Amino acid sequence: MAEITYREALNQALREELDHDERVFIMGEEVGYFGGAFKVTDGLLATFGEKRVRDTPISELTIVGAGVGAAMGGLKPIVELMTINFGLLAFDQIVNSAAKIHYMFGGNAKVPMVIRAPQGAGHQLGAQHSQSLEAYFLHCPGLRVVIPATPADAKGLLKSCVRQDDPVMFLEHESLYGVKGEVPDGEHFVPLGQANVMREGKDVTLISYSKCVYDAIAAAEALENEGIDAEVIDLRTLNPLDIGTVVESVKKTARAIMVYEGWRTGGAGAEIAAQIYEAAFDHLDAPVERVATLDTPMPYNARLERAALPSAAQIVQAAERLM
Amino acid sequence: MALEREKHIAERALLTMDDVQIIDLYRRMVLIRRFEEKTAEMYSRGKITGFCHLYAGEEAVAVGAIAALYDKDYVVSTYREHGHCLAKGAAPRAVMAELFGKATGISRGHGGSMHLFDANLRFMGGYAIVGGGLPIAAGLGLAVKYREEPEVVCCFFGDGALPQGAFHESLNLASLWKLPVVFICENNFYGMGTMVQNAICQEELYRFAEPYKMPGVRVDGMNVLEVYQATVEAAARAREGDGPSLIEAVTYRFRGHSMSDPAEYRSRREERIWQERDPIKQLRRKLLQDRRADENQLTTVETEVNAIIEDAVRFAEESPEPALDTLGKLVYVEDDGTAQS
Amino acid sequence: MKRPGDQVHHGDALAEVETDKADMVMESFDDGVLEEIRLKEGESAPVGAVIAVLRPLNGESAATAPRAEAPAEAPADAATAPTLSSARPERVTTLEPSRRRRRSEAASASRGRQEVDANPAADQQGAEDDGAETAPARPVVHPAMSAHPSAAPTAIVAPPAPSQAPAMEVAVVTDGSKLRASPLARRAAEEAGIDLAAIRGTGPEGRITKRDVDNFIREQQLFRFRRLVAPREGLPGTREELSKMRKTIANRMAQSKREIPHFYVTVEVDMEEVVRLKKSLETTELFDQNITYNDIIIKATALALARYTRMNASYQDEGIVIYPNINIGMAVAVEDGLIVPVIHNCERLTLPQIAEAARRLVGKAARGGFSGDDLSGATFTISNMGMLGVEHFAAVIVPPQAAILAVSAVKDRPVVRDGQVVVGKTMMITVACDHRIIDGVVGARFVNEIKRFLENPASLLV
Repeated sequence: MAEITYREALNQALREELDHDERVFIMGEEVGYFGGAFKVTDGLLATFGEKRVRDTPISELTIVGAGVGAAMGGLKPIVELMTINFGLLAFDQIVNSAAKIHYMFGGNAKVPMVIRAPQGAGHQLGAQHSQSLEAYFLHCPGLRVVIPATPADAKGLLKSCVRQDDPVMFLEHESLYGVKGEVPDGEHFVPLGQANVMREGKDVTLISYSKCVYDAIAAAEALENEGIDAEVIDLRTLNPLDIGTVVESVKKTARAIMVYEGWRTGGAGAEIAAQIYEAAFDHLDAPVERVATLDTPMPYNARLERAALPSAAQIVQAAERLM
Repeated sequence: MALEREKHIAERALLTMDDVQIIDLYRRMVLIRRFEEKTAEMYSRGKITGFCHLYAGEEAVAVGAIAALYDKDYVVSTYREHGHCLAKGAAPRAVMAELFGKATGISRGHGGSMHLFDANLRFMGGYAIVGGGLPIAAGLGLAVKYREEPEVVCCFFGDGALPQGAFHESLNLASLWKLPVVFICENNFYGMGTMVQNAICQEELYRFAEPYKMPGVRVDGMNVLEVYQATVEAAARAREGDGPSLIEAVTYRFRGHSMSDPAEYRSRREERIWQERDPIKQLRRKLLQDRRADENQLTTVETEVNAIIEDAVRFAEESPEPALDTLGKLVYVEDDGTAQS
Repeated sequence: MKRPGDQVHHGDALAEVETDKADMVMESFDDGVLEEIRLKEGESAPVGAVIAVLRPLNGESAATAPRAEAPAEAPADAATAPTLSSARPERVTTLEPSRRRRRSEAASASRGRQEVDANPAADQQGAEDDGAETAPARPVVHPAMSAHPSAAPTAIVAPPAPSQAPAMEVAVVTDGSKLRASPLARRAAEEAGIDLAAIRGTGPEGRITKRDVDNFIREQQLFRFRRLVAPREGLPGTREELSKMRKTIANRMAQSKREIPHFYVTVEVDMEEVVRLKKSLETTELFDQNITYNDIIIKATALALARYTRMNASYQDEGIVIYPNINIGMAVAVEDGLIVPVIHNCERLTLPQIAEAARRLVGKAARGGFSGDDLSGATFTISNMGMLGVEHFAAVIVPPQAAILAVSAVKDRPVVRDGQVVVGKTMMITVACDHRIIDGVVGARFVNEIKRFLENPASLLV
């Protein structure tokens, strides 16, 4: 066990997978000489060379499309979108190509590609650079959606993604790169589709992923002082979704709060809430709450931005409303 | 004029081919034509549904270009890809069964007319978003180059794809990385119902090669030999590691954009002019004229093709539909047992 | 008794009201000017209907003025010639509080008005219209009135006076709105065979949650209630032998109503602080005992009785007997009847001691083994139907006691705090008094004293 940052954990995973399989290569804007816009690929070019760590022009559609083609041609591309906001330019290739090819070609083709993309708000980057778009991809069958919160999961999940055969949206949070955590030494895999119960409790279940997991944990600690015992679940992957762990928890606590940074309306939390209602209606003692980002483009002003984003305080209030 | 220059190239191509090869070009073009005629018939009878874009009139482009490739070379196509798929060697049975939506179809009835695919034939799929195949072709080229293999990728698209960002991004990337891709633009003058001059500022489409620092040629897309010869040269360049080329094949679709398009935006006179330049009739005349084949031989080919098409339809008719319990499968690799470690 | 334009003072008799049980004088709890009389002499009105409008002395508009509302089917404003309005025994009906959205409108007026209506949630404005259209609402006879207990037949003996079982008046649960309950609570109630209508919701917006069901089951177990939902009913066309207990109840209650001139005073108690106190006691586990609402009400009542000794008394031909001790009986339903276990010397007991005594008695009710003392010597009785979700009811005095307190459910109702209408938790309590020794003003002050203690419950802890 070593304590490293989320960024370092991702870097380790990339390094190990590049080392492990000749077919694996990295492609994206600024991944090589710059070392990654968020320095996740730092140092990889020096070790693996330009063939394996490829700087691309600013052509998101074609970076992803070329990744699709390379994957169909037998390689295992790891494509980095500088941020998910730019990923919208590649939406056609992600949704119409990557997600569809295996199916529409009758299972005769596959696209083993990982698309890494930082996302999220909190740095006053304004409306076009502060989005959390996991719900867009969750909505599309054929895509895996992986969204780690901790350094250990960042590493373990990224390695698992590279070793499987479906296209993956691997969504990192820009605020998490500097977060430190214990990461197992050596080969470390976290299987897709297994949620992590971060904290056990009996009164209410806080269901979250990515950065909001930390808000949920902070809220759980605050709630403890009020005599409310909150369970915190980090979903880790939205597709596949470990609804079993969620339902089991909700059956125990009878109350659930979805905590996520996507927009409230049509967010991943809405889908999971629906699944909770379907699977555990008779076990609910209160409606499922959502603590998410206000339905607004992100303002630049710091105070407004903070208010628009979900927070531990909002989670506490939501929990109190439910009790 | 460019077309005049290419005529000589075509003559050269003719000289390099033996009679068997030449008759095979004829056979493939006739096969595609009969296939499309039968498809139109089956569509009218309600056996085939959905979007269906016929290739009749453009056979020389697919057949000429693909004849210039090796079996292991890749082909990427569009939603008007019956011709490319058949030219690459797909069994008419499998393609027709796909159009019928049957389990025996080339994409198990899951793709339909616009999404034919055969990994073994290296026919890498029909993509139904205009320009959607180009980045994928670039990626396939990257895979080839990455593994330092000798294959090339032949990417077909229509004139309608040129204003798409994907076209420009892909040509830039392919040229930048010297990827072994032959981009073949089938200029049939209409992107759906919009004439090229109403959609693209530069009507001489092959000139788009220039800013991307690759060779660009315009060929007579109604002349299979011209297309063949241009593709031979572009493929050779790609195999040498010199990067991509752009071929503009000027052609004409004999039918509307799709089965639901009567093409009323075109004049009947224009259509008659192009029908006189029918690539199959042209080749037939040329073969007889140059005594590379006799009437008997060609009639035999036509008869054989008719039988093949009839058989394909029978096969498609008799094939089972995909079982209902396949619904929801094939979405993820791991769910259908094709996952690798 | 009063005419429009007359000044009315707190405690003045406003009307003489006749029910099929007794005539009673309806007193004003407010000062003001009688603005309008809505009901003619001799007419009947359903409970909750506005019979007169009282304008405050400071001259508020009629729309928001407090109104006197009919306490029962009652001819109003008649000093003479009462007429029998209904043959149905003790039918207490309420209006449908069907227009929930009007709650807030009503709220501003609800605080000051005379709380003699059974349905404070009903909108003031709407009361007249609704009254005409919908009242009287279908009376719901609560099943608890004939609840089946599970066991302890040994306890089912006619208790000696003065702890004679009081007959509770027919209570009505009419919440016209859809019952709010969480899915989990619904499932838990179904599994336990409990009618959700009997449970009081304490969750957001009055939602019944699993906790409420659990608490209900616990209280139910305490009192050995079972099969609440199945009222005991005889087979049509048969005659059922009167049990000894039934006979005793019949005799005592008939005697009560024959001999004792009852009058009733109701107040609405803001229970927010009690709810908070109970929760904080649960959280802090300050006491070993689980403190119930019932315990808290007993304690508050004991304190009020200590100050208003006439309430803890008995009318005797020889004179008025003021009891030296405060022995509070709690009416408990058993098989086809009632028993009234007694907590003695409540004036000397702390809240946890009262809780402990109540728990002990409940245990005896479950296992049997009451001693004579446990069922006798009550000087005052509380009948608590709060757990049955009732809006409001009044009880029949147990002779020879002078009064009985009827406790209804804590409900979400609009209240005014700091000039804002908010949802509060309130409870109706009604004291029935023997007018031979207790006058209206005493009865009114007594219930207001209980209200004061419950609204400031910290005083109950000392």
